[in-house]
Amino acid sequence: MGNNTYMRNSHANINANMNNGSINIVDLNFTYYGSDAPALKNINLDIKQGEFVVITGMSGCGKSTLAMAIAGYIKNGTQGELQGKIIINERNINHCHIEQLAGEVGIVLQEPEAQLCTFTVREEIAFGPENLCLSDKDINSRIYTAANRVGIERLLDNDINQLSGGEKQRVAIAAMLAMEPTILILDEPTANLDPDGALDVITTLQKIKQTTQHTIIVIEHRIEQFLPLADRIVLMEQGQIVYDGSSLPGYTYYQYLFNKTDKKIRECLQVHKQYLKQRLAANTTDMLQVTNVNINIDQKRILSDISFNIKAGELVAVMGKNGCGKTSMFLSLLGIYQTETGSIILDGKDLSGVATEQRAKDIGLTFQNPNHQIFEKSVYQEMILPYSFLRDEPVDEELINQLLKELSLDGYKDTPPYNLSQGEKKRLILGEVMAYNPKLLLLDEPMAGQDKQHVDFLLQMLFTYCNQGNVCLVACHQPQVVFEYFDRVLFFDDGKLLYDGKPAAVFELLTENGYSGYDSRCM
Amino acid sequence: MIVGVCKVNGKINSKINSNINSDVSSRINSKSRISFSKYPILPDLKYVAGATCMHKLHPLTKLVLLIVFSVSVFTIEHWAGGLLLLFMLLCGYKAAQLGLSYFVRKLRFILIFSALIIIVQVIFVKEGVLLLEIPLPFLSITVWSVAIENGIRLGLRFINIMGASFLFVTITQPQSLAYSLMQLGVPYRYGFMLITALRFIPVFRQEFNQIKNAHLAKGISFTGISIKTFTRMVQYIFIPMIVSALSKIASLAVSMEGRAFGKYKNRTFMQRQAFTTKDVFVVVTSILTSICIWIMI
Repeated sequence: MGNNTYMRNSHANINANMNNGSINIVDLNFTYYGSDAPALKNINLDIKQGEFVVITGMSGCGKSTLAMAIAGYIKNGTQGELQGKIIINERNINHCHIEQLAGEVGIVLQEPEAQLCTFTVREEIAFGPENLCLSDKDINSRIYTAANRVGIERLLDNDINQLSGGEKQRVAIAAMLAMEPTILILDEPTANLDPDGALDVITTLQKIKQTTQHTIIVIEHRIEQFLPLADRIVLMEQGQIVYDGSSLPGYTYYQYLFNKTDKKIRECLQVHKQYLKQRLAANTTDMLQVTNVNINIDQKRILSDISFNIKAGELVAVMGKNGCGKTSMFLSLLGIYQTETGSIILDGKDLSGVATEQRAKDIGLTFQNPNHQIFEKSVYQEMILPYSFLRDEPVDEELINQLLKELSLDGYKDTPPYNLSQGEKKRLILGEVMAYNPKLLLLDEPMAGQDKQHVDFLLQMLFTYCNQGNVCLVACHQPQVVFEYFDRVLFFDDGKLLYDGKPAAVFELLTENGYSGYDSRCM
Repeated sequence: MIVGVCKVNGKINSKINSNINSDVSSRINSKSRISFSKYPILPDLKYVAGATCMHKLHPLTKLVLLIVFSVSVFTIEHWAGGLLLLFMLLCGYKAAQLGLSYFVRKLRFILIFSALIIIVQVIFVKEGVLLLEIPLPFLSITVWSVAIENGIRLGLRFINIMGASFLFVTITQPQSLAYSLMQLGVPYRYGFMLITALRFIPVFRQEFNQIKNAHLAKGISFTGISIKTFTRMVQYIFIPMIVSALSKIASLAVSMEGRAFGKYKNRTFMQRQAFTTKDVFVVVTSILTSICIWIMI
């Protein structure tokens, strides 16, 4: 232990002599071109070497912009107007080229897939040091140190395409660590990952914090998991820092500011519970009956022997690791994947042999990435797109306008949908399916990477929707939300339906059987 | 993209079949889809991993071999030379443990096309010695020696060139070729264009499927062939692809620049494959052999 401390100190001394990993931001203002409101307003921030800082706030509060500014990607005159100073390691970076900052600041982004540019893990970690023209010996030692710090030594010769999301994100972190930056910035590193992957990344960060002197900045919506690691929390609202201090009071303030549960959502939940109780007491038949469904793709079994029944009005979460069969389940309900055996009965109608176009009239499906689902030139046209294909009667303009208002998109009617923010796009996608009112709604991870406000809004919409006697299945990675608001959980593992029941009961079983992250006592 | 289009066709077929509304049809359909993907008319061109002596050659050696072979194909006029080259090519396939059946299966399209070349020659060229005459009521078929000779020569050329390129692609990992070229002096910025493009092919294929699924979920279907359907197709398929590609590229640029890509004029490479004596031997022998054949025939 003593030895270890000594080594850390000596490492720190070396760092202090060369570059110390400190950040001073003085009166930083930034406005994107074409925008009236500044994205960053009077930012003053001092971060010392070795600190672990979590920056949080609602979507669009400017936290990602701040991260990009610290990493040197935002300059005066490139994307907008920047005033003030960003001083990293006692050097003003306003006029530095990105490549010159490499090795001082490293940034890891949200999407692991898009940050990896080679084919194997070893090549990927070697990529940075190779650019620095290091010798083979140095590159090798950097590869092993970086791989060791994030715990991926055994994956070094694996193909990147075959890694899971969490592993890919760890490779991205290792690739940055191999540059030996004094400052490591992570922009929503867990937003696209399942709970296992997220936990992997967090444990990795903990290890990096304990064994190195890197200054670490994490940008996150949901900061609960980072609390034990954080030395400091910075809260941002509308481009300004509203709190900067130690983590516990920061968390309380965070809860107060962003995480306060809306009274309205509580009311909606109560109404929904009441409705469901009546509905179940009336002992109606099942809305959706799935019996012994098997699905093979390319001679590989994707789903085996899935059976479940869902009553009208139920809000059901579909959970499980990425790749466990959630999306396949949705695609097979819609008939995009053909069932090998088994039957799917929706509202008393057997769907076997019914073509996808026919099924789409009763089943609405949305995917995680809104960019793959937006096709039209304006928000209004996009809103009526599925309606015009799936319904024979003419579009009810009043209904569409009302829906746009509910989604607070009524101001954007003629805007091209690609110009919307991510959250707005997600709302638009949801509105589209709601416009033609299918009986069964399948949402594939609508909450991934969304802030509390959006999640609350989504749940409100879903409660109203379910209360009309419809059924909604939501693939979701957030145990807390499921625990609090959902009526039922279907938990998939490796193509099998492992558990089916009330969230509390299922989570208890999961915790007993060693699945981490589902302990209801921690929620 | 060709693969993508084939898949779309497969989907459309399956949709038509599934309208028949019976379990049997879906089973037949799934079988027909398998056969469809197993023997496509246009073969899918990709690297097949292996550990044969051909695979182990340096990528640049293989490139030199391909160039020497292609030059020989065009310099050697006589059909016998063409046959000899074909024999050598087949030996190459054998050495890469791909076998005659692989050659025939993958090059089916090329073989059919070569046969067409011969037929066209027979129909239009009437020179040399009359070899065969089949009298028919209206039009008698005559086969002349020059036609056969030309046909075989051109057909063999076509098979040889395509076969050699196919073999090259099958036994050369594209990224190792890119790395070798960069080490030879091709600027690394260009080399990495190829590498990142290759890296993102499976990613974009997956996204294309997702967009297709989103179309199905929204009930979007393209019926009839008209300019309007075509523009709609472009709007509904390519715009989302481009938007998502651009966002991926933005992240990729941040990630690569953040790792000092482009900081110096040169960079080092961990992935190096040295030239062995075997490589030198193969290159020299191939050049000598081709010169010999050229002089002899």
